[in-house]
Amino acid sequence: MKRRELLKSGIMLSLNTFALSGFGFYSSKISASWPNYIFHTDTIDRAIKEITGQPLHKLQTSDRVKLKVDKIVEDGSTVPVTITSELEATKTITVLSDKNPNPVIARYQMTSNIAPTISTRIKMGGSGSVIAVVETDNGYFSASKKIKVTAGGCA
Amino acid sequence: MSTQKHKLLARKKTGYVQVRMLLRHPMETGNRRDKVTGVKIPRFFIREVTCEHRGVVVLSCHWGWGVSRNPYLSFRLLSGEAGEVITITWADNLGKSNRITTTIK
Repeated sequence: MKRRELLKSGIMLSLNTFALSGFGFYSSKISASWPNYIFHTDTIDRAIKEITGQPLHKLQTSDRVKLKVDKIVEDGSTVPVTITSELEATKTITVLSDKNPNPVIARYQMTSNIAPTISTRIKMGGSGSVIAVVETDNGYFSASKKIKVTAGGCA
Repeated sequence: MSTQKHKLLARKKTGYVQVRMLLRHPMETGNRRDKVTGVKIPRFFIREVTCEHRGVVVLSCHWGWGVSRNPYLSFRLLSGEAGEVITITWADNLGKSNRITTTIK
């Protein structure tokens, strides 16, 4: 019995080291802080709650958060989005889409070395809203825009 | 995966450096099915992207599978001179990582 367990643990150990060595050469540079839970939330309300700690209706909108995205897009699988924060001390920018099965798309951690402007391309599951949530020292501020997707895109 | 197909450009403009990046990655959501067999295609996406300049992390990104395939990202670096190196490192959900560097022009 004991011998069996020892054997098992030995196998597990070697498997573990094998798995670890399989990791890329540069992985040490990447932090292990990928927020699993926020990307797995399945409604926009829950996602906003996870990110800001407040329900969606309490989230403040701000005209100093600029969201640039076309009103009508043909292809929902690549929707160009530009988010600019004119708020001071912008810490993070999060992009969400309310029609996606998992609304949280991306989160950007800003530093003082870059301008708080991010351009990227996102997937949209259908016509709906793109929401940008900006985290500053004074709380969370958002902007959203309704987008019409003519050919369904998110796959 | 050769680094040749990924693209990273950094251009010096007045007052800032425009950094643009295009990676090659399928960014599978895990919800898509193979059209022939009907089998779900496993989720496969870039989770983390880090940009370094002068040895300092200037931007770090956490991505989900809602980012488009062959992800594009552009941002502005507030300081930086021509000839300096910019490094982008990324890792996907299967633990593979890679990097690409460029010099500011």
